[in-house]
Amino acid sequence: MLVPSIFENNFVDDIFNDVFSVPFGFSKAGAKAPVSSMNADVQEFEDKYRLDLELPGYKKEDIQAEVKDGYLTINAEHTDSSEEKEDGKYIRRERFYGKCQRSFYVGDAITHEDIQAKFENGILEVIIPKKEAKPEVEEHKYISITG
Amino acid sequence: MMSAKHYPMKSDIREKKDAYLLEIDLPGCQKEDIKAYVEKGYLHIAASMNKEKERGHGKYLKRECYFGEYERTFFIGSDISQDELEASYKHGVLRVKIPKASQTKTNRIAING
Repeated sequence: MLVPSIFENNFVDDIFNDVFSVPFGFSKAGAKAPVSSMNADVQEFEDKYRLDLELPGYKKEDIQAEVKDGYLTINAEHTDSSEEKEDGKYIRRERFYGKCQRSFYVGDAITHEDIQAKFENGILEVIIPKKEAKPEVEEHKYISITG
Repeated sequence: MMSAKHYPMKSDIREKKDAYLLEIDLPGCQKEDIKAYVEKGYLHIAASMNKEKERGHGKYLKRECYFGEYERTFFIGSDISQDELEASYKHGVLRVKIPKASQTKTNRIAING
């Protein structure tokens, strides 16, 4: 089938998630530092895929989604607000704070215009339509031969 | 066993001058889905997460988000009543402000002699 096997292969997103989503300071500090999860649910419907990503504590402005070379990449980074800045002594710290990224393969046929996204209550909902990859029409560029 | 990465309701507790600030990750809830109450010195936070009916019934290709009911309990001391707590829910995070128990109440026993 020409339909890209979206999401079923978790090779990309696991590697990206585990290696790159952890800020360097944390990854060296040891496994006990909070790790960004960006947990995702992916559902397949007849005509679309639905992706739900958990991003608690982020604001809409903190999140960027981009499609490039067939991959949907979600970036999230906390922008400091006065609310978060006012500090105190941490007694317990389990929540992740900082920058994280995750990528999903959506197929080369999908462009950013096809995708709808909504952010509400810490969940980013992304709707990706099913789209057949159109076989590229081979353009023959013949050289005119004179004579 | 659930790995540390996947258990829900991750929480931060910060000590401030006059209060403790409890922040709990609760993505995908409605305010009505969260119940918080104090009982015998414990603060209970119970929530129902990621309801099926709001997400449709597709075929799950990946399921990492916790769904269903979950409850977490925090000891706050029996000096604090439910009315003293302030809670707000925004961007998928529940914030509870717990005032520090007034320290004037000491039950010191006078020692004669």
